[in-house]
Amino acid sequence: MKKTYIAILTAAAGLCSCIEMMDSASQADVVNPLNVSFKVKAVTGFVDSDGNGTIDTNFPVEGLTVRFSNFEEDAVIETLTDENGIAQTEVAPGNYTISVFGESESEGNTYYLNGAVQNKAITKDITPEQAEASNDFSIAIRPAMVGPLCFSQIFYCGSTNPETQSTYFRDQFYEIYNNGDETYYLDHLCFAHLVPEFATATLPEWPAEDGLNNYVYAVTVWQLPGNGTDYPLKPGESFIITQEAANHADHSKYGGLIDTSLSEFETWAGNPQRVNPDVPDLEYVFWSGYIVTMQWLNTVSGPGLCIYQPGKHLEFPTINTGVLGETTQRQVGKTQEYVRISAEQLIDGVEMLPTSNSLNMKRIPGFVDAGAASTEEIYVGKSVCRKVIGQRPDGTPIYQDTNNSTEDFETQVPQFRRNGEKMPAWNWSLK
Amino acid sequence: MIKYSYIKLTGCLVAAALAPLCSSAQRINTEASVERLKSESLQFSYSDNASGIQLDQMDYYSQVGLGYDIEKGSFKRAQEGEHNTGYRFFTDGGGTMKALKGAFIWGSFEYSRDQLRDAEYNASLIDPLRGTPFFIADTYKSKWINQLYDMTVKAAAPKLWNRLIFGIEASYQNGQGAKQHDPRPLVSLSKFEIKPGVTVTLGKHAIGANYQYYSRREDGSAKNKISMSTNPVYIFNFPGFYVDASITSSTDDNERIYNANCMGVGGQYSFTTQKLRLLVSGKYTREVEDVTNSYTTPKMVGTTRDERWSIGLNAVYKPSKENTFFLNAAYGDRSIDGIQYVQEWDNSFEVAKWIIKSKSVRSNSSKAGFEGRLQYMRTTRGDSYNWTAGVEFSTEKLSDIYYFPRSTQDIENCTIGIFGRKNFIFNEKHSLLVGIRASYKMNNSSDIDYNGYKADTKCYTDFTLRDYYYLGSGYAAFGGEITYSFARLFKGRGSVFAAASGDYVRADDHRDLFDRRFYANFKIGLMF
Repeated sequence: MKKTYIAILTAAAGLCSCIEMMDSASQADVVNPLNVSFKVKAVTGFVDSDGNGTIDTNFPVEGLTVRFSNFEEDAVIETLTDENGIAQTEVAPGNYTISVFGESESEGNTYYLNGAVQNKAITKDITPEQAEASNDFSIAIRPAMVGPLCFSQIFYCGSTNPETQSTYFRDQFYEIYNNGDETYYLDHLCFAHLVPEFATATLPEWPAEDGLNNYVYAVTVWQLPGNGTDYPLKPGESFIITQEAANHADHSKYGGLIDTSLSEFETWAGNPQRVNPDVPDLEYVFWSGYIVTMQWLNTVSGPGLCIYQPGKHLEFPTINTGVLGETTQRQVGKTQEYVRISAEQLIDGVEMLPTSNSLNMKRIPGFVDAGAASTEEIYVGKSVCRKVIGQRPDGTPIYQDTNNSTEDFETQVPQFRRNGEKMPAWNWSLK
Repeated sequence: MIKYSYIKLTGCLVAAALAPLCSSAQRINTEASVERLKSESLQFSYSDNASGIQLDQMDYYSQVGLGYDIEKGSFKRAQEGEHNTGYRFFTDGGGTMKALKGAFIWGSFEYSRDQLRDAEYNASLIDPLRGTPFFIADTYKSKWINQLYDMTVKAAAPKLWNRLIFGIEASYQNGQGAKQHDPRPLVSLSKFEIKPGVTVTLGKHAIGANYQYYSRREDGSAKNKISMSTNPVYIFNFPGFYVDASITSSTDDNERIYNANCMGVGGQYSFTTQKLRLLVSGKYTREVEDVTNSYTTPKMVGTTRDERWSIGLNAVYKPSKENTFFLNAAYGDRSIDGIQYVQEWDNSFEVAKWIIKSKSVRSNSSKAGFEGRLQYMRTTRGDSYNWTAGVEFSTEKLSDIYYFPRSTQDIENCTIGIFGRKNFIFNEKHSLLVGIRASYKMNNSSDIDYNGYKADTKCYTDFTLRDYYYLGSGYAAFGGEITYSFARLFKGRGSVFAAASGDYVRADDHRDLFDRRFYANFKIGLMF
């Protein structure tokens, strides 16, 4: 009898589930295209979590390109803003990443007005009046001057030994270039690996008090040494940070692709077994989570990286979990601490994703990088390299830097200083 | 494995167990006599209402056998294999059981194992042509190995108060499919179906109604056997509308869970006299299938709303003992709406799940068609027949639409065919059934208007467009079959048989894309 009751209850539950499913499907109507408007506004200062910030009228927002990208359908629709900064177009219902591109001249400087709103669900018409009135239908962009430093090449995806088919990632490296016209002193420059470590469409939630796009958050931070003028980087020079400075192409000892022993710095993760005495160690000043592996590497499927200048040597009470302080932050409901980096301190950032079609997994705010670079595959021995758009009289390259890595980067076989960049005079091999 | 063994054992026993309960009439079961038996049993062959089978007063038969199938050639849909082989074990049988006060019981079981070679554009489904527009595809030519267990039981109670009959049909299908090239999903399928029915007789007239429900679940996850490799895949929302993706060792969007429920109703009217038996039937079903991508944090990939209705007219006219005419006509319509969702990840700490913000029908795929057949059978030799011949005619109208950006595809075809079979009965034991058939398909019209974003990609030109050309391509087909039966076994009631059949199909249109396809089937078995 008990079995009969169980069978009846099971059948009833199954029937209810079936009816609910049928009913839910019945509620779907044939799609109608939506007429949407989106407002672009240039802001300055702190932007709260509702998108309210001080409108910066120095930067006209007419004629900016607004791109609606639906990565679940591979649909890309572009339009231009009108004199009120409003872009109008017709789209299908969906989740859109809305990106803004453009540049503006102010006080003799070129500013990029880049920004993006990710994974915005558009399910109804949006009128220009609604876009004007609501922060839900607007993008607050922060005009960014082109910084002198930029990542010119990043090799993160690793390589595969063609003979043994074994994979290798110890020769990951990051080349940073002075694309400006003046010498830049690298002392105190920080190199940060941003949160989340692995690209995901489900981004972490940060406290509302941090507002919108005022900060980025780092899981590890490395800092260059110096007292202010020890590490000059002249225009046309680049310096290289490598995971381990060694000749990884020597397959009698290593299994990699390239010789990174001429790097300016290698990363020190507390492991004395992995030190090249010739190459200075880059000190890690913050490491979120307990360091168990005594090694450091970036995910071969694509990290988010940035460089920023805090202007002083950073010190945290401890480098591991449990740090409290002004420069760290926790995700909502979590206990792990991450470094909080203000937007004003950022110099350059690059988003790298598993594929160029994974932009719905973007983790860096649009004003840092409106797009993403990708090698498309892992362990294929390719680096993402910034495109060359010109050359100085001394033969050094001028790189494209529009704060949109989708446009600014291409993939190449990794090679140090591939376009004739110069080595800084303080490289260990020149001393 | 224990479950499969149990199913297999049960299936094997179904036919054998029923035999002692059946009537003791000295019927001789051969390939031809069972074909005739099924053709004359209209309710059994053309109705979903098991209770109506009582009206057929169907004599019993049982068969068990092994079969081997071969398909080869380029005239095929892109997702079908270029060269397929498969073997199967099958058994079915039953009939009206006098020992059970005239109850009807019938059962079948089939195990099949198929190898599809050089199949393309499928990395998620055992049967990619079953109608869902939501699937994962890759461009590699891959082998698939599919195995299916299929078991069905039909039963009808004896007539109550000389007027009322209850019946039920139940079936269970279980299968697995495995792709043999990275990205390689291992897909599991199970389906349970039940169709209770009732029939009321009013003299020569009878009316019946039945209900239908099934639940089907199919799930699998595409993974790479070669670690650290990356394989491009394409996540389809509809043919021609997909997004590029890749399967890597860390991909978390490679799982597909298809969960379908279907409900339907059917109605039947039949009229029976000495010379004429008529069955008019109609049915409507509605299947809803949700597709999600995870068990733990499910995100809706899409939903299909699949509605089918059909009406049929089937008749057997027997003006004399030697002459029988069969008429089968049916018109059916199937419409599949593809529903897509707008979802947001709610990452607040307490919730953390996908929230549906809106849903809308983004595509529709429909098929409407008529099928008719007129057949004559000369029946002067016992339960079997001397010869039979007939003509067939069918039309189909295929319409696909993706609403935004609006893209359409429309195809209209018609097919005519003829067939004939001669049963050479040499003596009481030896007989040879020889059949030939031919058909010709013509395309009446076809049109495609694609406004999607993928017109220059391989997935469009080599898959969607090639499929469009295939569906609208005319062909000429002919084939034949030969079956040898050795009868008078098992107290004179049974026979052993060996059969072979082959068909050759040659494309008439788009000869630059398609050539021909050859089908062959061999089987041996036992009937009793």
